Amino acid sequence: MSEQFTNPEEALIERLRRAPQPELPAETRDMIRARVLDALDHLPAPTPRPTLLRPVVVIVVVLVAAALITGGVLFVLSQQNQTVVSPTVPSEVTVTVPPTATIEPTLTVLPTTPVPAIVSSPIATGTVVSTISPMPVPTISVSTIIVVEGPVEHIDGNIITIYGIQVRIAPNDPILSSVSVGDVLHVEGGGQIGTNTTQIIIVTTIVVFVNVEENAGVNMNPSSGEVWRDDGNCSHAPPDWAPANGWRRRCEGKEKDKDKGDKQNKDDKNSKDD
Amino acid sequence: MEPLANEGQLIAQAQAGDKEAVSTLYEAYVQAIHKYIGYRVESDMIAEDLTAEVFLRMVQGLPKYRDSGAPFGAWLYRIASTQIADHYRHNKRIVELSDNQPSDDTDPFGKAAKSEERARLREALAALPPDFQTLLILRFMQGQAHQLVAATLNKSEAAIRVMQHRALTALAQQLGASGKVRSYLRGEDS
Repeated sequence: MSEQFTNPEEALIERLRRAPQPELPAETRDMIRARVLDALDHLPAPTPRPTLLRPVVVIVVVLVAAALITGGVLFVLSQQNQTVVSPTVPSEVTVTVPPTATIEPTLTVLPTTPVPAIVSSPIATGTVVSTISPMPVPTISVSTIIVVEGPVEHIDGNIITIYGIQVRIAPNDPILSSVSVGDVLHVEGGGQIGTNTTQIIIVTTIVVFVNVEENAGVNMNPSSGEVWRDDGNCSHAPPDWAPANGWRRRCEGKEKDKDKGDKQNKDDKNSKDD
Repeated sequence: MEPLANEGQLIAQAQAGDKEAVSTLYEAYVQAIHKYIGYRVESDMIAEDLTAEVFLRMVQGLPKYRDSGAPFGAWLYRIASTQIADHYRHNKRIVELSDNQPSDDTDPFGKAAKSEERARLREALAALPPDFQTLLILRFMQGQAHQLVAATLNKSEAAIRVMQHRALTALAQQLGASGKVRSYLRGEDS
């Protein structure tokens, strides 16, 4: 770029350009060079400069260190989140549950009289075998004593049905010869309880009459619970405590009055004895 | 003064202690540095001493030198400026006449005229601020480029272009004043 100068400036510049220049004599120049080169030989050994790290390098190092620390922390945290239950925990645990559960049968009983009472005695020991899983489903087997008291609805051999519950009675139980539909029994026994209560089968241990159906020719000794039923068979004589109810007239040919007379004579005889 | 073609390589070799490289750099810049100093100080002897000191400092400073893009010569001129400032700081400013110039019997009149002109210019320059002196010497006496002058003075080239007008004006005023004084001393009425 050409420069613009005024005439006086141009004149002054020309004067400066032509100004006498001081010349360095050759011998002086050589002498100075010799001093310079000699100084080069006697320069102190270059000591390593205390290296001040450049700011950029320092920043990069700091950033890298921060990134490493952050990464390490994140890695540790991620590892902690993925920690599984210690393998020292057995995969299958057997737990003995104390028999604290009271099993209440969910029978829906119609309000009839008498009301059956089903009592589940928690005399059971349960063994729960559970595996660690989100939804443990323990399998419980419980032995119980079941008490059923109610009218007999059906009789099939040695199996009677009370309120839909089948009760298996010992085949040689003498009560089988006297029980009939409508009789009210008190049954105690053991059985299996499944998920369906209608399938309960009770193997009885105790069966007693609570009441007998009236107007069915059945007589019961209130003190002992013994029952005599006139089943029309003359070989089955009524006990002493039971009224004959026409059995003697039919099977022994005695008149009603005689029956009465016999009975009256029996009473007189007892009074005479007194 | 143009930079050497292989100046970067020479500098690297000089930093490694290569005497040949150091000698080459010295030969390339010694006259320019001496001329610059010669117009800044009052005597040639001082100029020679300061010139030697500049290159000794160059050798000492080469290991620390880093190429920042500025001409190598600008670095040397800055060392020279520092040496001149130190010289004036430690010595009272003594305005000497050019009587100590070595005599040259071959052309006594011509030599005297040159010596007088040089003394006149040096006196006028000495009255200017140091930056003006450096600019006028480097830019117009030695013909250095704006870039080198700007790097030496640590200013932009645009600032140098503006500054050179002010420096010329200031020098003209000094030369005019000194011319009037000299005319008066010679008994010439203006």
